[in-house]
Amino acid sequence: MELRLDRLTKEYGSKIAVDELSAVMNQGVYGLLGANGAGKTTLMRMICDILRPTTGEVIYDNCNISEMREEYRNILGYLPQDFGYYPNFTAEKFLLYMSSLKGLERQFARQRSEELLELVGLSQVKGKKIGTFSGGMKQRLGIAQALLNNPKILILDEPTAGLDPKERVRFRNLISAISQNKIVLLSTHIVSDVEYIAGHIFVMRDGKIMSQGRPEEIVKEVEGCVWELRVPAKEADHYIASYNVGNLRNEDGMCVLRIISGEAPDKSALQVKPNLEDLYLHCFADQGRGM
Amino acid sequence: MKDKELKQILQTGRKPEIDSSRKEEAIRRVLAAGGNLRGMPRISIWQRMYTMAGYLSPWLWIVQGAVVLLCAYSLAVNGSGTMPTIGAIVPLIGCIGFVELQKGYACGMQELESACRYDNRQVILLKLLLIGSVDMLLTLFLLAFSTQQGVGLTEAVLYILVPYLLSCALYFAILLRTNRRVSNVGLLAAGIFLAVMFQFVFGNIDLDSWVIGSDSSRWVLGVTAIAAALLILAIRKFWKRIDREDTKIWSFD
Repeated sequence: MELRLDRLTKEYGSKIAVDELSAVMNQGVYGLLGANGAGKTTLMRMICDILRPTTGEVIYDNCNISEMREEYRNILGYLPQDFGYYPNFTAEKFLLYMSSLKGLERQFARQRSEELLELVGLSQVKGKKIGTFSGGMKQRLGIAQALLNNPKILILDEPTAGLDPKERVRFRNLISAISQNKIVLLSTHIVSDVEYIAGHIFVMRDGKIMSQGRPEEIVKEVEGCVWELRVPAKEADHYIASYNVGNLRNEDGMCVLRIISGEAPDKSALQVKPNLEDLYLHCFADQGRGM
Repeated sequence: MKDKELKQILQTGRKPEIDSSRKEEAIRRVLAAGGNLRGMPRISIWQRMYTMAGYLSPWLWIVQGAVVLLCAYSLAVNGSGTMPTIGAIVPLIGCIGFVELQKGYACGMQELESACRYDNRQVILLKLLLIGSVDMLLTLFLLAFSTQQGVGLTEAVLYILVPYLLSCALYFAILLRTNRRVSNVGLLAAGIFLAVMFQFVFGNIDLDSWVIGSDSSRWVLGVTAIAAALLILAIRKFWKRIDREDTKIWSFD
């Protein structure tokens, strides 16, 4: 099972949303990290064959997906970033409708819908209209519909948007459990969503992949660049304005700053072990400085 | 390579020796690979239409049916003098259907539907077939009923079929122009506008004298043909635009 992105480009007039992006994915969970406007959603739409690339190809098992058409969509599960719904449909009816579009037999679709509603914790409200659901409930329903046809390729665009921390943990565990024998691509700008479950991370910026690899490998890019500094509260603003501050916490009347910088911000700063969030902040330092 | 040479090579070649364990391993691997294969049973378009009909709003059929019954009742009570009014109401039959047709776009479902095996394009096709078929049946019913009430066929075609065809062509044009993102209120406003417009045309232009004239059949046939052609053109343009957002310019191959 191999999904290959071959020099994918998407242009909208003079704007290049995805810029000659190449990647190879096999079985496993892949995280796609990037700030807003990095091109993540455009990339995912091209992978789902919803959007045609300006140039380049998406190839699944040596076949161009635009030639595979129905056969490719048959093994695909997709959760868009902002997805709509028919407000008068109940949760159950929505899943049955999506099942019919995915070509599932009615009997199997009913059974599968029941299972998935149970899995995402919506079986108690399956008879209620989607229009009455909270944001988190709608998101969970969206995840359920993506899993209906037991897809081999699962594309999830910001799947944890609107979920509370408990639901996010539940979602992570769900993805880990179902990712056997699948290619799962998960885009997010919440680092913790992918830090624990993704075996491979793509960091995307301005339509290009800036770095990729296992989390522990790519984090090495900021090794030696992450510092912890204790300063009086009145000096904190100076450091926030001057450096890329990843975290600020108050401790015993002092501010403890986590700073990402090539040089030590102060001689009293202590070097600490970097994490994926530090890498993210380092890559996107100019897109929303500090906190 | 000539056949004789090939035959010689094949005859002199040794068959590979496969022991039972290798054979069993090969069978096991084939079965495992087969287990991962997903069948893609074909579902006929009729079955899909039947399934899709179950997901259309029942209000579509109720309101359309009510409009048609209202027209039939008016015709039965007031006779052929009510034909201009019926001609003004007919555009609303199509309007109600279009509200349902573009519901996927209005509700933001098109992205989800596009990623399914039977994608957004097929959803629209099924809806077009379903809603279009029912609309045509209702229109034909009105035509038949009106002729039964003593209205001439030419007059019935002019006041029922022509407004229906022209209004549908306009609705398709609106969907194209707004990139399929017109609100239900917008569509209804267009329907009401058409109703008013046809009411004005039928009410102020003495079509009866034209209809009764000797060349009336050919004239009405001509107008109907033009209306049908406009509708076909509008459908064709609409269908082409449902495809992927834009086309691939070139690839590296």
